[in-house]
Amino acid sequence: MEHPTEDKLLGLELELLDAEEKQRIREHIRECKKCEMRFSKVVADTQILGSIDPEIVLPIYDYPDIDKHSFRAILRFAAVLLIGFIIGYGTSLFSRPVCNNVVPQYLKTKPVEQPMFQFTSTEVVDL
Amino acid sequence: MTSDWENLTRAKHGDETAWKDLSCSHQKRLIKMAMLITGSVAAAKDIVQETFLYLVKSTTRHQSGSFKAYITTIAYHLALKEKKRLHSVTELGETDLSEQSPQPLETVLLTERDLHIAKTINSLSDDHRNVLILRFYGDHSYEDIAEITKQPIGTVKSRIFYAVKKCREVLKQKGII
Repeated sequence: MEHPTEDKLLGLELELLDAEEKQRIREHIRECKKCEMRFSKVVADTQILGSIDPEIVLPIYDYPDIDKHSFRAILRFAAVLLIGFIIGYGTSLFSRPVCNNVVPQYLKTKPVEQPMFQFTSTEVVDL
Repeated sequence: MTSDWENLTRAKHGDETAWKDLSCSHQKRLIKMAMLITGSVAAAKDIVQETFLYLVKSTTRHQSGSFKAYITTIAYHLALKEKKRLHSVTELGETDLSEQSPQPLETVLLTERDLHIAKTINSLSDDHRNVLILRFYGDHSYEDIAEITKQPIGTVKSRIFYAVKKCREVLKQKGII
């Protein structure tokens, strides 16, 4: 087998190769001292990338006061509702539509003095 | 041993011990990751605090899958948002306001070697850098990274390969490796 390329060795280290290729290269590395050394170098180089160790003083995060927060949220919601109601009520006061008072007027009908049925049909024509 | 999901449920119901267990087991990893993304230690600490607060206050009943990936997703997106904000502040020329500027990464990297590695990682494009940070400092599988970054797994794998290859080349040129 040919010696695996540098990219293949890196792929092996990063677990990017399929099972068959992985096994083939592993077998080769077991038999080839040169490639074993090359692979060790790739592994060491790769591990260096994840080796930054900063001096951080870890903070202590206090337990959040959840009840207090939820109570505040309820208060905030109530305040929004109240403000909304006041604004709505105030707006309705200023923009109240003018009422058109309609006075009902009833027509007074005259009582029929001479009902039509007292005439005969010929008389109606004459009239 | 209590799982992280159980600890989260208990912490949501006021159990301070569960809260401490949860924050202690994930704090350092998340701070490192956020620090490398934002380039600021102070911002990273705030991001992690905000992440834990979000976890405890959230009403989601998401309890399946990897808790580590879940918490990292929250911290990762907060870190990206903060990085964007810090970048826009820098562009506006407000870097002279030393009182307001967060503690830069360089102040906690004690060795020159660490500084070079950090600079090399930082020289990558955002996409490549973030994937590399999630792999090496978030300690995530490719599947988790694909889920966190919302990218196909093939893209994640090719980005990690390119990022590591590029970093090796730069570090070789600098004589670090």
